[in-house]
Amino acid sequence: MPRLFTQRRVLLLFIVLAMISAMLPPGAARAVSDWPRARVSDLVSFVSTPLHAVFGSIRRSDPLGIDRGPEAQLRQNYDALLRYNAWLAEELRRTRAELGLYRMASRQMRLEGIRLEQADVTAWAGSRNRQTLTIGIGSIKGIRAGLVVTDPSSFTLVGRVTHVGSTSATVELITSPRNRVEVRFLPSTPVAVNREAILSIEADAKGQTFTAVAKADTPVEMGYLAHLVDTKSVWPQEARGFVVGKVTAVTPLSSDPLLYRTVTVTPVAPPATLSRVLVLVPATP
Amino acid sequence: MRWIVFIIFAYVLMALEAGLSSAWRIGLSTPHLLLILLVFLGLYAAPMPLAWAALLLGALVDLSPPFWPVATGVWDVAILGPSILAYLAGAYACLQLRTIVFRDSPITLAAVVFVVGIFVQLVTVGVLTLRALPLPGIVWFMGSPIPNFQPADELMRRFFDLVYTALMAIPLGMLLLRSVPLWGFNTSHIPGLHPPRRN
Repeated sequence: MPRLFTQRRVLLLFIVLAMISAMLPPGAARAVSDWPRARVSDLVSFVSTPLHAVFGSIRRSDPLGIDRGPEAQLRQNYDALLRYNAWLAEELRRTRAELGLYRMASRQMRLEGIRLEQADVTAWAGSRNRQTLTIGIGSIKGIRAGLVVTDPSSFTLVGRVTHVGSTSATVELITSPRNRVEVRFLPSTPVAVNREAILSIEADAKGQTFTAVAKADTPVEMGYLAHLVDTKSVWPQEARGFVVGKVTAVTPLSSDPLLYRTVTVTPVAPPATLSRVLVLVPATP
Repeated sequence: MRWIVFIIFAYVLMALEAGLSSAWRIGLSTPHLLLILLVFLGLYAAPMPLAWAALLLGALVDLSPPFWPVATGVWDVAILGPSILAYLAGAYACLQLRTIVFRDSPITLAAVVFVVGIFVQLVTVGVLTLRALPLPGIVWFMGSPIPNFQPADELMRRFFDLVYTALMAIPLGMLLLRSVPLWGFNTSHIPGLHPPRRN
């Protein structure tokens, strides 16, 4: 009697299954691949996590410094501190008016009741429409899809979780090619601004910088910080107010240099080279 | 072919590919070490073990990032299948090529990686493109395109990946060719080829 399950027939069966699996709609494909995906990620992370931490630092450029104000100068020069304090006293009335602005910003950054989970980065992966990091924590630590991920050193926005396994998760980077985010431009130092600009910036094809075209009179200067606004509620609420990057170039638009300018925003720390991230886990989903 | 050696090599190369991805990327291009392993096996292994190895390597590639976005919701999905089929096609291409190449050279390995890689990438992109075709009544569940998936863009990116992979196949090939005695290949099934070099 001929054998039913020869090696050739089993292989053929697997090929047919692979063809069916390749055509499955996303929900079914997810059900099929979720478990093995998580296991593969867990297994690989033993070796890839230390490798990423060590060799990722080779490509890591110095992060762009955020100017937090004249504190360093004041330490060096006590007289300057006194003058600055005097100036502050004179400007108190105006400062109070400005305070409303920052109150609004603090209301936007809702970090009450949010747990911060630190995670090691296992791997980076990039394609033409997507850049991701794999991180070493998952549903066991309460991680779920959609959570906001930040850089622990500069506390700038890195991305959000798009897939969760038991002990690993995938984070889509904010710098994914052609990703669009809405940001508000504010000076990096707490000085008064009469007008503020809100623009939609788009990541370039390599996912390294963001650009936006703005009118020539738009109040955006070099060194300004781009804070996430997200009026369309694409991101979770707790992501609002986080710094996306810093304005590194403001150049006249080549096709219309008199009326428009190109604003270039560069992430403070390149997300692809991070070896550790923070995940913002709200107490209530 | 010794399967334990295959598992160790597949694991190490996959971990290296994941762990070094950010360090050795050029733009968005990274080398695919598992493709090099497939071609190496394609030059030496018997057809049936090669097919199984290709199936396993393809599944590992499908289950590794980058994953695919979906149209709704904030999540992505690993589509199991395109790389399995592509790696099987690549294994078949290797079987056709190996009788006409001098296989003990890393340069050969790099050249075959490039040629076989073209088949692999074409099949992968072809299968992913096929997902978008609505064929009601024939395959009811088809018609699930990947958002922002442009076959031409994808082929272009994969071509640069392939060039990088072929270059990387030269140093990695030197190591793999030195490991031939470990694998226990039986080359008696390959007409006209001498047994693997013993060091």
